[in-house]
Amino acid sequence: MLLKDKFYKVEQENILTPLHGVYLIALLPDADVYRGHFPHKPVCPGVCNIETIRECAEMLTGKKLFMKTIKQCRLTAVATPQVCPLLDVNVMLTPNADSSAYIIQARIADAETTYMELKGEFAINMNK
Amino acid sequence: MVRGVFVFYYHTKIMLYQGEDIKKLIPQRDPIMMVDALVSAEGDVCQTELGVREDNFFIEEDQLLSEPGLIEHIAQSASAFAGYRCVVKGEPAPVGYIGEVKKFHCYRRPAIGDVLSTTITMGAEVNGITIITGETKVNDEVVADTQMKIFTADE
Repeated sequence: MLLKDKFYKVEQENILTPLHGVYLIALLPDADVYRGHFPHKPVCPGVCNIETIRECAEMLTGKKLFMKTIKQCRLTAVATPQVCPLLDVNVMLTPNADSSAYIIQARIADAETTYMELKGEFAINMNK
Repeated sequence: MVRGVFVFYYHTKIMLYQGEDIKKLIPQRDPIMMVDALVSAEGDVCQTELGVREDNFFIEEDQLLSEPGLIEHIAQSASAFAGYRCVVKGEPAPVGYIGEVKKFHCYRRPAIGDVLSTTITMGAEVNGITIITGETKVNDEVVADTQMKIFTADE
């Protein structure tokens, strides 16, 4: 995976159902990406949070998922390893009609703040 | 248009900004710089390029670019365009954050060696929020398209 153990570490995995999991992650303040985003001002790139959601969905399903569509992804607060060292990544999946993809609803939040909400469709095993 | 004449006669691609100069337009730095060149900018439309190299931050184990890499490339293309529009007015380049990604489609994940060619269309800025659309092609094949809300923060 692109970011697991590089950008974040999974502290706890709560599998509520086979298609609904909540991953408690710790953001790693020494992640390489902060050298460039931005120099002297570390801010989590929104796209890294999107990738983190995908990786949690892959951990939940045990499948490689292709991000076919993001219907809507709202970045509602600026996340940094200082502001939110620990985050819950909540992933809910529903198989689509022919089971070739999952409809995904996900949220990244801590107790006080929601940082990201995402709705989309992730296909199974495409380009892989 | 002098630029057009040059392109016509010499078939040489003239970039507005490339190489180190791109850093004048966007605040991102290595390892997450995702624009090589601002190819053209006119009115509300610009074109950018990125060569996908094997040391790209978003290259996955299967040697293909991840979809968020395409989103970041489109966001930085818009940022480069916004930066360019400020620089030509003698103002500092703004720092933009992605506020929303909407209707993103990825049709194919680009491979190492592909050159991404992206067209950004920028809407009007309202209360620090700009809606942009981006379309990324490799050769003539569309590999991704999206809408985005970018909000501009004062440094």
